[in-house]
Amino acid sequence: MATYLGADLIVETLVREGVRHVFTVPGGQMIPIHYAIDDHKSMELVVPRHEGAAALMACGYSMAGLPSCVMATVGAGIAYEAGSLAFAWRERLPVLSLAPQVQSYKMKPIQENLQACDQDEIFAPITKFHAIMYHRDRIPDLIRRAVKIALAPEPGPVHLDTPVDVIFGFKRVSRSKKKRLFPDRRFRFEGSVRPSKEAVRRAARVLASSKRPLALVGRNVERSRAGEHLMNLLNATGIPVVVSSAAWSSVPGASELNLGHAGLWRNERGIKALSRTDAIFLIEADEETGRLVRNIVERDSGAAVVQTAGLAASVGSLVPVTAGITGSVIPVLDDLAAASGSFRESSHRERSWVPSLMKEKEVSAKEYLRVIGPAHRVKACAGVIEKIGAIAGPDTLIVCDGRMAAGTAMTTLKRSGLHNTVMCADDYAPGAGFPLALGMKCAMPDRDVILITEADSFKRHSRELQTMNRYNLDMSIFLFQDKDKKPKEEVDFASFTKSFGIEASSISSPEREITEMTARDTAGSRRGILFDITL
Amino acid sequence: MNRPVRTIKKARASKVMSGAGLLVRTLADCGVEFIFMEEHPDTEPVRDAALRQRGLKVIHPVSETSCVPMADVCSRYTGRPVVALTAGGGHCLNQVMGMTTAWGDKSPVISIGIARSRGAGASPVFDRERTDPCEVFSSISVYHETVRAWSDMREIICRGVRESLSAKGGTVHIEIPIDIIESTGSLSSDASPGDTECFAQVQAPVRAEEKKIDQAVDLLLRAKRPMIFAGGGAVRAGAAQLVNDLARKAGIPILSSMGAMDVVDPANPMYVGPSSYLAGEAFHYAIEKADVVLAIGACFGGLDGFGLPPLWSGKIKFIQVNIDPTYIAFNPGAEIAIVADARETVNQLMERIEAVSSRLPDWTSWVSSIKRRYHGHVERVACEAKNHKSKNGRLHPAAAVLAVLDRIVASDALVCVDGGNTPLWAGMFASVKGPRRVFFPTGMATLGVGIPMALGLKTAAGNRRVILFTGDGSLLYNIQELELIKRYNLPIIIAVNNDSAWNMIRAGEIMLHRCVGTALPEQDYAAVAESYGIPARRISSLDEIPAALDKAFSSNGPMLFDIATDNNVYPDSLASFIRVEFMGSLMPQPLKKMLNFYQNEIKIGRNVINIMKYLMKTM
Ligand SMILES: Cc1ncc(C[n+]2csc(CCOP(=O)(O)OP(=O)(O)O)c2C)c(N)n1
Ligand SMILES: [Mg+2]
Repeated sequence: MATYLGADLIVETLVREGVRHVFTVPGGQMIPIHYAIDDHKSMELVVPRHEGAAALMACGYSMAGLPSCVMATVGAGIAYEAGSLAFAWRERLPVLSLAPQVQSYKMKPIQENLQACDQDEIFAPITKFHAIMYHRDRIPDLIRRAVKIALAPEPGPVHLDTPVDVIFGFKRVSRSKKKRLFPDRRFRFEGSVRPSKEAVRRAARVLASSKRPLALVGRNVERSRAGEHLMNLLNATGIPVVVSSAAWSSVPGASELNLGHAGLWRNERGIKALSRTDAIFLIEADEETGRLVRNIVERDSGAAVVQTAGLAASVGSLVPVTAGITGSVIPVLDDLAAASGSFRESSHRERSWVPSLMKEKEVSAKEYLRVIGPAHRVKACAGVIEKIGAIAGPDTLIVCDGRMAAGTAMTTLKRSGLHNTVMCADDYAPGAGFPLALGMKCAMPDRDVILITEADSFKRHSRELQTMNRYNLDMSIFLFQDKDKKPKEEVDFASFTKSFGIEASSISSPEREITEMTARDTAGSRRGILFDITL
Repeated sequence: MNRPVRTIKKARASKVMSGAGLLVRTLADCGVEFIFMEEHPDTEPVRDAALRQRGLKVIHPVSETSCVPMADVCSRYTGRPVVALTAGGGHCLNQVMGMTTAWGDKSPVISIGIARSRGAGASPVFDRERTDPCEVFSSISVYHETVRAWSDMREIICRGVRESLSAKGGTVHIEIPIDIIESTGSLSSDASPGDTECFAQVQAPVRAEEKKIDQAVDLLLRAKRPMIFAGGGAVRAGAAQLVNDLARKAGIPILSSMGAMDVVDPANPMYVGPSSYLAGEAFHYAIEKADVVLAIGACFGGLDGFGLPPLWSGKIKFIQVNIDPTYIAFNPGAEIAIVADARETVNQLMERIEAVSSRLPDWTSWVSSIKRRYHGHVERVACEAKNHKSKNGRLHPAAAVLAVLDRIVASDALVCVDGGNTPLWAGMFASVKGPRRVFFPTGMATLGVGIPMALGLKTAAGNRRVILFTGDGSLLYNIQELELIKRYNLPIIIAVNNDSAWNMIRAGEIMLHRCVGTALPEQDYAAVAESYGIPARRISSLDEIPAALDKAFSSNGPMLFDIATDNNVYPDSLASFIRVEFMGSLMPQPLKKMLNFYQNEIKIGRNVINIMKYLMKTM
């Protein structure tokens, strides 16, 4: 018989769910959880300087495909966390969020306890599942259920509260009881779901008979690491593709079918051009591609719509569909590729369709670059990004943050390899890029990481430079500052960075200086560094 | 108190204006003076309109997360509603931190999100950008609403302001779609909701029944050990001075809740120590021995020990005065309940006490028995602090705090506090006097709001200097706002209690077992401040403090002191705090863990012994 605190049960379950890092800022009510984590060799606490940063690090960690957990203290901690967990919600990241609550006999309704608030209600609209673990015996079961729901199609964050008396409460647990709490069974489906043959055949037929097909690809393709499967299908069928910014890295930049990201097309001219399509192939739609497809369909284009989605309820939820497929991303793409055979050569395909769109893309890209920032800055930024693209190997992870930095990168960065770039362009969670990059580095310490960001975004979480140094989450940061906007009293990022023990240098002629850095980098220097680039 | 709301003027003849124009006009009509606004393309129309509206001031923090904490403290200082306005989506959801904190302190903050149109029709399963921030804010606001038409905006804003100032008061969230901000409409006298009466209601003070006042005074006269306990409601009602007068006149000792940190004047002969646990042993002695407690605008939350056993004596007869009936007997039961305005009630009590002054018992020895405990306690701490020798040469945090306090007591500076142990150290000596002078997020004890609070306060307080005491852990949360301090060269002094630890939690860990995850890197925060162009220095000996402060006081700009302190000392009021927060949870640890304790590298030092002794005294 061994004695288990509620905290021990929590951590035991996390270990069995494969959690290795817990991102947290400490809190008194979590102390026994800190201990239990410390007692497990396979587990580690990562303590950044802000709960929102902890949640975003967990998001980055989750983007790397690992079981991800953030823990914030009652009231004050979760209040900082919530805004960032909303990012996991929007981005469909299966992050497990844990928090203590005040005593079970003093909550719901609250009784003016210090830090007490209905945190489950704050999280309800931005999580797939939330619960309060009132009884220690339900801890393993509820955590497993939460993780399962987080991972199910249309993934997303989940939140569990544990009253402090349950965390601290302890009891002897007999062997047989332990077996009951942690049975030697499977708790979730881990395979993939194959689509129905009939559905695939119908969809393939629609696409095969189309003269001007158009694929729109959303973020779940990226999350499922399905880029290769996607490209097999697109290359076999010759369908051109528009990606959402979250799926930017699922299609190689050099592909002759790549029409760029949705942002390029969401203007009068772009939508008009796309509306000539007669068959829209909507793959794992997300908000961005969703808006685009509605813009197209609203024009009465009369196009057929083929939609594939992991969740049956998503099929047809945006626009009426001609053929729908439900199933996991990879088998759906593979089965479709197999069923499509080689209708690329099919005679009725309009030859000028892809080239005409490519021409439109050029125009749209110019227009897009014009609106994301002043021409000279965007141009200089593009120059630097091009260089970085040349330096970075296919295994280097590049995170781009900020409207101008990410927007420019999405239009100008040429990269080989798939699933190696993350774009935070749309300003939903300002400054998310840096903590995301830190979380990714934590998940994949062997990969090089480059962050391309701009002052306004970076400021939001720049304090995490201390975390970067403390946990050796080394990366190269390229920070763009706006020379015109920059008031002369603005923070000196190079000395700010140095004050945290990280190397930094200010760059005035990026063209020249970044090459030098290449030389040093290839010489094997692996310390974190920040380049403060004023354009 | 300056009454917060002006009566809404009926708008004269119809006038065509934009949604943004209508918004700022309505806010100004409601008595709003400050808007803390995120700088963002979506908020630009409102900013432009606000700059044209007389009587409105717009302040742009560096990060949108700071809008609400700045507005929070600004509203607590001015007693008027203050607006925090941001873009929508994730920007708006980032206000959860500030809103939870302001809600916990019942501050009249009106948060406004300018929402991008979310489009219609897409399934919410699918489109997660359609998540409604109002839902997220529903449990941390007293009112929340989405404006769905231009013509509804004025009514919704007025309602929000009214709710924020109502009996209990608190935070409000309003979503306004950008299309409505950009559209135009006409405001005519009949289009505006004639809100005059409703506002009048919010403002009208309510008197206590005379019968209740008689009963209350009778009970006090019969008491052997009476006590006045002033809560946040007393400050909000503008009754701070009056409760002090009442205590003095009646000769009854007065203590305050954590939510009314600065309500009692230390110069008051009836002052027996600072708020709640901060008074340490004295507080525990008083609440154990008192027989009648007159509670004014207090709801007895966790930070005050709930007004219930085991901390408070179960035999106390409570006279509870509150404007909100819900808060009568919210935790301890009431012998006499009075639902009325604190100011009015205290005035009534005072009259009655004057009338019976000849019959007032002499409670002097009761008063001095509490005082003695308080002074004994702080003198012991001050003495230990002065003679403190740490192995690493770091200062005792109490010594550092005292050295800073010494210099600022005489000034009229306002004080913000941020951190864990840091506020306990800064609060236990409590020599700063005057209501609305010390600010701490009492309800949520949110770390990191110190810099935004100092900025919000500076905005509202004109020429008065602002001093921020902060822990090193808290300092970095919103460090980006140093840029704003620098930009306007604001005379804000920041004193960092740099103990390289999340020390309140670390201390809890030491009492329980061992330290995990609570160390912080050794960091030179003076260097951090300097990278923002803010003059700063690292302080490693007590003698440097007076001269350094003189320099700061004679300069017109900001300054940061990074004071290297020892993290192996803990304020013993921490023990009171832990007792309540973990009530019912802190059972003896399993034997195995207890054994670990002794193998631990952490010695049971003098400090732990002090805390043990303290706990014995408080039981
Ligand atoms: C946002 C937030 N996160 C975590 C906590 C839990 N907590 C309370 S005190 C404390 C330590 C604070 O460290 P510091 O600011 O350095 O102050 P110190 O206790 O060291 O004086 C922590 C982490 C909190 N109150 N608020
Ligand atoms: Mg500290």
